[in-house]
Amino acid sequence: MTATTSNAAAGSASNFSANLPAHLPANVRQILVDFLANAQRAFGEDLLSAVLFGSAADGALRKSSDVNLILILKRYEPTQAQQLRSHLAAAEAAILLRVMFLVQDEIPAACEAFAQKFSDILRRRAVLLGPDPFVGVSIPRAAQVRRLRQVLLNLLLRLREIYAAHESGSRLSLSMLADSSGALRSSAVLLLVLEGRDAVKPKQALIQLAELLAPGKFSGALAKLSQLRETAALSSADAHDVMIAMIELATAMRARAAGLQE
Amino acid sequence: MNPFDLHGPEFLFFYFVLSGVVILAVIWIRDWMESGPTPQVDLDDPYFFAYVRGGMTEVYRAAIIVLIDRGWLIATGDIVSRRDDIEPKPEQPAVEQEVLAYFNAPHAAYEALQHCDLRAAASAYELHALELDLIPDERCKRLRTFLFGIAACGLVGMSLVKIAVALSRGRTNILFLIVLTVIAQIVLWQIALLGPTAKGKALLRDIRTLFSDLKSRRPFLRPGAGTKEIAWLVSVFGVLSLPDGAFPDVKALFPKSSSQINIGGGSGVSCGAATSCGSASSCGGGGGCGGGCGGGCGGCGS
Repeated sequence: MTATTSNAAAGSASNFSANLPAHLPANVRQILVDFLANAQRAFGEDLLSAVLFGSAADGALRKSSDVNLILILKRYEPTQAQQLRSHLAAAEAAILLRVMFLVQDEIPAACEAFAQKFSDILRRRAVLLGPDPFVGVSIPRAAQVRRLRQVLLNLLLRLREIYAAHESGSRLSLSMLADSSGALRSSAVLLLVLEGRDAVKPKQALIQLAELLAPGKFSGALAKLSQLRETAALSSADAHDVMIAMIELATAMRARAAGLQE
Repeated sequence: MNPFDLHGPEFLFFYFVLSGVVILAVIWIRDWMESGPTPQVDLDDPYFFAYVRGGMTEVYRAAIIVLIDRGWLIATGDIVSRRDDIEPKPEQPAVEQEVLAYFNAPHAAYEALQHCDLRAAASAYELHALELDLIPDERCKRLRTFLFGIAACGLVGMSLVKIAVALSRGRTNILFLIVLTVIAQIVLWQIALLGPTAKGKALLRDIRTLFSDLKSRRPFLRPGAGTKEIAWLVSVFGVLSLPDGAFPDVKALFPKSSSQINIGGGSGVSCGAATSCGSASSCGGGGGCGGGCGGGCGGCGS
């Protein structure tokens, strides 16, 4: 597979490879090495750090999972970013690479504004390049609680719209359902953490929280949701059941989040 | 044991096995002649991989689908036309600019694949693929032809001798042997003469591995939403890799050729790619002129 690395990647592969989590599949490693080499070439000294986060960082990556990466920059120069466009497009297509371009001095504001995402980043990350930009960063509890409530309300509104607008089991509804489940899982992690419980992986967190909310009620639907994320397929009847369950679960989680102390 | 003394069914079996051995030997020799370190290729242009996989036809096929998915071309049945408010832009890949210019007037998509107006942009891919030894150059083609000639003569000669022996002994049941010989020649022709070089095949294997997750995500692809993914999927794996339900019009677009597309393996033989238009890009690599489908730029003369 090294055959398809770019010339830029060939020189830098060893630098990045050493920092990549060992559990990453070979194609994901290769694409990341290639992309980071091109990012270095495009941004030069403006690229300060590269941080992998989420499931790719903690060994829970599946074929349908996004690979999330943050590039910490000294400054964002559009002409530099443009050089990366075609490589980013290839990486997005190949491994669902999602890249956040964050300027160094924006980190505190981003942590506060997107407290749920960044609390996940603080828990699950792997620094691929440069110094760790999140050392010593903490997110105020109040910001996490507020953001959790926002995310859950937004998710609930989105699920209602999907249910109302799309036939259960249609390709679009399945795709949107699978996307929404990621937000539900990460919300479950944060909710448990804010309640003082240990952080667990997102899938386990949602199962654990569902059991706390209504023992046994959601287990079937969550199993089907996992099946959807694994196989990208679900019968129309199952998709309907999962959608209803997700709406109920999001509603219950939102009610529980409303009771959190800020 | 003299094989020519074997009776009909025994000789047919012997000939079948011999043909298989010869074909395997041809594959081995061809790969040995054309092998080498797989070159390093930037992942910045999906159309290049479409070219290596199937020649110019596959490049334009991919570009047409990408532009339809993006909404810049409109397909009605197998007729494609450009949206009124869309103009080719200089920052677009040259292939897409060429396709957009061509479909300024409505045309059948499959006709476009064989039209001489659509050749110039893909010739850059041909040059690049030749530089990297991913498709056969003239020397390589001569070697392939030589190899094919030796193997074909051997198998045909074997048949002719057996037919002569059979006829001399008053037996006329030679039809099965003739059919088997023709089949062996067709397979040999495809194996020996067509497709990318061993380096090209290795590159395609690598790229398919890199993009294997994309292939498994096909059910989630949405028309009009994932053009980058569509471009890579179609370029690396072929048009038939598109999920049927989401892209029902693809078969209507290319009724003559979609069944010939190779998804995920093999040499990526494509029709029409190697037909001469009298231009510098007269011989499309990555597959040459596919069996019997006739690229045909007849009368172009440009």
